[in-house]
Amino acid sequence: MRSGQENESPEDEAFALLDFEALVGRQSRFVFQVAYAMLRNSHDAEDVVQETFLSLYRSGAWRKINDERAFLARATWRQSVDRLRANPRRAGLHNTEDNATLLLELPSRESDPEQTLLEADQRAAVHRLIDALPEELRQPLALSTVQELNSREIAAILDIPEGTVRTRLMRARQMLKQKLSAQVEVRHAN
Amino acid sequence: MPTDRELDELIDAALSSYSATEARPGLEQRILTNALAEHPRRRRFAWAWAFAVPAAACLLLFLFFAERHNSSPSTLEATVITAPASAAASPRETPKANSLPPPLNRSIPHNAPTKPPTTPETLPKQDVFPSPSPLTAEEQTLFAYNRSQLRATIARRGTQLEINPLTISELQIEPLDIPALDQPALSPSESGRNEQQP
Repeated sequence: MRSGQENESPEDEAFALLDFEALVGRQSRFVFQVAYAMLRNSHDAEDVVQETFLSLYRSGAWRKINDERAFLARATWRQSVDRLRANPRRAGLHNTEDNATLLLELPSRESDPEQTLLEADQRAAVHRLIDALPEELRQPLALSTVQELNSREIAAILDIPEGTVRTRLMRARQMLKQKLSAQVEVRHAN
Repeated sequence: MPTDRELDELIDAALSSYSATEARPGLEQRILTNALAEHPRRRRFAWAWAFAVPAAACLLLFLFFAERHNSSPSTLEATVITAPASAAASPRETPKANSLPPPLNRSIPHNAPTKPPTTPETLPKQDVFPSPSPLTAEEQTLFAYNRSQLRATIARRGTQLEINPLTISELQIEPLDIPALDQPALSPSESGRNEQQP
């Protein structure tokens, strides 16, 4: 990796751009998944991916990265949290156009249209329940869905102990199960 | 009533959709395009800074000196010689009229408008000079020293003087030419004419 972005020759700049291009090619999908897990909106997630890479390019910090995945995941998480704080209404699948798209794309084992709609309705209910979780429980659960992110990496991103991540994941799942079972009981009663 | 396993399956199915979502194609290209667009902008801003910083410095200097020149003129501190503190504690009391004017402890503007020359203030005259008050011990010592030095100087000069003996030339009195008394006496008018003739 080269350093000294201000006083570098055109040849160095070209090499740096190639390095940056390789970094984007390697990690853009991962960065998008982290952003999408946090924001649940593909357009917002793409914006966050671009902001993350551009801020890295501006600062030149990408030249000194040791662990690319951890660094990028942390940077993306911060950008996502800033976006959520700036506009909390945009967060959440049930408020966006992704809701319908996701429900239609989900695979269905049943060929019965009524059953398909029922499953889609159940998944939408699960998504709503996930979105309604407290942020301290929702964020570890959402990040756990990103490929190859284990508890240690999630702990590094959120800057909390690894044990806390596991505890929060367990609590989130228990809370979801309780609410889901309550909803199913209500439906069966109706 | 769904079992715990069924609930887990429902949750996992919902969460799997998180990682199944992909970005629109061309995201990497858009990122690189934006980065490339950012690059010359950075250069342009660097040039702008290179011009803006010296210009701002010059402007600040100009404003500073202009402000200083107009509203707050530079001042010259007048050198003030104040009377020593021991003078005030001296036992010799001088009359109030003899005291010096208070020290000028004010600043004189450098570019103050020129005033017409004024006559300097005359110092008050003493009625009796020197002061009628008795001399202090120091003054008396100085006076005695001066007197002794004067005497010594006079004595030294006296020894150096050589008095030459006076030489008095003898008197030489020429004999008077007295006319004889037997010649006839002239009338007053004739005698006057004779006197007027050379």
